Amino acid sequence: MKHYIFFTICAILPLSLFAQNASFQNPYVQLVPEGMKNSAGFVVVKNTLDTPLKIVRASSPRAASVELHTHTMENGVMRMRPVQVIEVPAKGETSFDPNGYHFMLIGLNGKLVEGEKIPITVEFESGESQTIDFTVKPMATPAMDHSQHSGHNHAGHNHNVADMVAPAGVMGAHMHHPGAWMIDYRAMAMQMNGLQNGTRGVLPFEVLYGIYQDPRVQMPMTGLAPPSPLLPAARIEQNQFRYMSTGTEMSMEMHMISAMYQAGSDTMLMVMVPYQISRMKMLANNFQTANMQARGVGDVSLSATFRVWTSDAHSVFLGAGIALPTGSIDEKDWMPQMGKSQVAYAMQPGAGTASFLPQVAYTGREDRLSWGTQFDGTMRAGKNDNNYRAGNRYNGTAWASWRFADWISVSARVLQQKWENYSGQDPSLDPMMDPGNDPRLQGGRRTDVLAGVNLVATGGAFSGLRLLLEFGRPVRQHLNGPQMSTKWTGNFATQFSF
Amino acid sequence: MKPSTPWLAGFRQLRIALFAAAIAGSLTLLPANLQSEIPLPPGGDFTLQSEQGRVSLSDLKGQVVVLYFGYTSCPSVCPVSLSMISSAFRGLTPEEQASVRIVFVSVDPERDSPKIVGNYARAFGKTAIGLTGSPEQIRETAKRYGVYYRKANLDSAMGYSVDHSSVTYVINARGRLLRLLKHGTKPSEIQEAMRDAIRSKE
Repeated sequence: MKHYIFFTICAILPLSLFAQNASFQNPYVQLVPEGMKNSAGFVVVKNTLDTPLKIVRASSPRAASVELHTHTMENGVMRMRPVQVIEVPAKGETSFDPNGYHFMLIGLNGKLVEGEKIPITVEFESGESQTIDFTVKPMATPAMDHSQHSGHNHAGHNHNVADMVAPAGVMGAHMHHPGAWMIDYRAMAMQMNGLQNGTRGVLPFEVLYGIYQDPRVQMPMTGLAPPSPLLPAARIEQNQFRYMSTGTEMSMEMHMISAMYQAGSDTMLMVMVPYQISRMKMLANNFQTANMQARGVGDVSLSATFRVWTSDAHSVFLGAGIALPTGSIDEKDWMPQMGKSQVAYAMQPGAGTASFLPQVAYTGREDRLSWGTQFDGTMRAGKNDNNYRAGNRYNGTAWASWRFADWISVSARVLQQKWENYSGQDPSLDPMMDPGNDPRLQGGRRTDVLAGVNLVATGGAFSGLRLLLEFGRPVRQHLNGPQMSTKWTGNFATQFSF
Repeated sequence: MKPSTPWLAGFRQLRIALFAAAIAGSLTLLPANLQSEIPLPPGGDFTLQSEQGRVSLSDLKGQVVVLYFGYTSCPSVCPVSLSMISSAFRGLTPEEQASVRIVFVSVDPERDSPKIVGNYARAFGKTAIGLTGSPEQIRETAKRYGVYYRKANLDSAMGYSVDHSSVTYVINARGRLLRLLKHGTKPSEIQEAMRDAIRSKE
């Protein structure tokens, strides 16, 4: 129940910020040299009504007249024309920017001073009007190599730089121009080797039940080798686990295809379809080994990210989503001594229930440096049909990246993950049999450090295509009971927006 | 039991995907740097009016000239282009700055007096020059550089606006037109073109 409340808060919070009918974002007037008679005002007008808003007139005490103008650029020729009406679509927005609409201030009285507020009254067709203070700003003077600010979406801004998106392993937390579609493919790979209990590495023989290890069993000595010198007697006695089998190596591959749609300048909607392939190398107490495998579509998720606050250099995002129980929780494979049986909890592609996906993120940038942090969770809605509830997961990450050129940036990142034990129990998974089958031995926490590179095509037919790569290794991990420990992780992503 | 396969063989699809992506990536990033070039107009010398009197392109020999045609009542396209040039200029070293000159030529001689255009140009660089002239002089200069401009009478308090092409011209120290930079060229590329022009000897 707690999770529902949390999810609801996450979903409602950003919506409350759009309470007005028309809101004017980032209004500014271009600073012009002294003696110039004209200037232009720019703003993003948002309409929260179900009907279109029509702007028909504007005026300001600082100019003889204010007109609605537009720009067109065809074959490199710029044309400026007055227009009668500028429409802001229902539930949409219209951007007044240096490549399109603007409020033309004609016959300025007095010189403009940077930082000064110029009131402009905007009249709508309905007869209503609204007066907005436009701040005088220097003519868009982009810093070297920095014609983009994460803050706004002026058409003049260039989003086509490598570090416009976070490193490969981080999803979300960036905005495109309204109406943009983006297709994104990501692959995440993780390799686990060897067993670990807490922070201590353990040998498979410390986990498996071997009859010769059991002090209660009198072994016939004739014809048999003496106890192996590899297994010190003390350790054998301490062996608290008596499993028939255990995983010794595991690899996870997750392929994710997502489609994103920029619904407004501050809202991004996303659908993601994951496909998971898990492979585990099993060792049984009769020394048999086997490779088990499970693959399938995971839990399809729907989510929305809202930019709740932004300035030139900083942005804050809130996100909420839901993962639907589309992934299987009944994958089976052959297992030594057992035949076809259910694979361990961690290998199942799905959670079997809906999961809520809250998210909060911050990003910042200063010239060639950009940075960010993101916290997200996967919170299970309840028990699934197999009578268990998968553990919640929480991630926190922080990164910094440096752009060498528009097309390339490199990043360093720290990722802290925590995942909880499962509750309940799948009746077809015997927890006495294998530590992977024990719902109370699923949790853990881990810190990874990752290095990555982002590439983007800045021109040509594939302009806007991105390739992101990241590779990481754990520096600390603490696992609840014998679990396989992660040795490395790799993330790959490619994105195309149009 | 399933027959044992070599361990890690499992990452095959991933490896193939990575390999294909790497190839696709290098193919797409390659043409990114080969920007399509606009054929060069003849260019050449011109003489126009500045605040301080007549200025010819040949007077500026020994300096790289970054030339832009526009008009001072232009609300955004001209200031945006000029500030891109200005930003590129500010990124140069002091020595490089001393050998580069930003020149703004008005295509609105009716309204833009030498004083107005000079004042306007200086907002984009202390050493920048603003030029204007008689309608004939402007027409002749614009023709040499392939500049399109046309007065458009408007139903507006402005009276008219000037439709014009927005291109930046890079001319080397010997007065030869080297490159056209189309509208929207980023400061980094403009700066690169400035440096190339400084190095250019012919």
